Amino acid sequence: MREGDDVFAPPRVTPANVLVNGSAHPWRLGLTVADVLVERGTDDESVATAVNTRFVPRTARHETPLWPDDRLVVFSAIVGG
Amino acid sequence: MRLDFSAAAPSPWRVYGQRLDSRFLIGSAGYPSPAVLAHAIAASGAQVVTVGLKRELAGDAAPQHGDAIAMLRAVCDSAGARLLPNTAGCRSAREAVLLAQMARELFDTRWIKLEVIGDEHTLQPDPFELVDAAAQLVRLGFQVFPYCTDDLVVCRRLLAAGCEVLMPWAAPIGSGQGVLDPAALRTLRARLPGVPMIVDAGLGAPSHAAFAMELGYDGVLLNSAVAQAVNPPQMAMAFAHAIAAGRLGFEAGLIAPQDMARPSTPCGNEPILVD
Repeated sequence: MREGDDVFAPPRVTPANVLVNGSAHPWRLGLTVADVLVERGTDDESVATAVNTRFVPRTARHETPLWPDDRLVVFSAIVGG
Repeated sequence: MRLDFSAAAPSPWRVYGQRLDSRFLIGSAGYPSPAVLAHAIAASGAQVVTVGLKRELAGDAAPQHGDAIAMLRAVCDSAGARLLPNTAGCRSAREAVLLAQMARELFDTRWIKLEVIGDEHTLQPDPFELVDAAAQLVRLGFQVFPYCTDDLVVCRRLLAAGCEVLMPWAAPIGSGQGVLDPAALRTLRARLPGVPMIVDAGLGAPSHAAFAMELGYDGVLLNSAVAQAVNPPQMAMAFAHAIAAGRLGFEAGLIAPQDMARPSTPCGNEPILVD
């Protein structure tokens, strides 16, 4: 609380997000890795995922909940040397 | 003497139990188009093609990535070639192990080309993180192809960690300099007989590949020298011939170099006197 703040104003609520490859994605209770892929229009078979640097296999995406500020990374296949 | 023309092809070899008739492993990055890549792979005769992973959602990916991967899978399926995913871009064992797990799922293979880079300018492998990552990956059931320096002790540590193949560099990735330290590669070959070893990275010309193979290496992995050539399929074919020639030369047994001349014509030491 700083001098001049309105002590009677309701507390400011920052919307909760998860980070998907560094970009904010809206969080809600019960959100899973599989949900994020669906909401981003990503083909489940064409990507690999990790949450907070831990690998999440395809078979576990529906049972892997996300929490505010979790970092989901999604990798796709590319050409390589 | 009866000529056996089957000997005109290098002998097959094995890595992690997989028989390979080609000794050319080719990278798939940096080609002008997926079609050129497909032609280059076909021209190379390679049975192992490297691929990578990138942090991107499939829907966000550049369209050429998706096209190239779909084409790659089709070309490799029809040619019976295997994909070898890499951990390019990793700077620590932790990153490499995570990326390898993702690669195993995406490409449905236990094979992993392990890259853990320790210097941004030379892209030199970090030996400490590399050995750590290799040991972890072997415990997780991976068959690891470590991209390493030509340091004998590091190579021994990688073997002790469970790697059954080694991939020492010839020169920094993409530099095209050829084998910078032949003595180190000779030492590795001499001290680790029987270990499948692939010279990986830094080759620029078919003659570089032939030289590496003449040292007794089992295979060559390269990408840039083909992908960035004016005519990649033609260059792939040139490398394929050079790799086969180098291996044939090694198998045939090279003569030892020496400082002084030895006459090849058996005319004896008597002077030819013309009256």
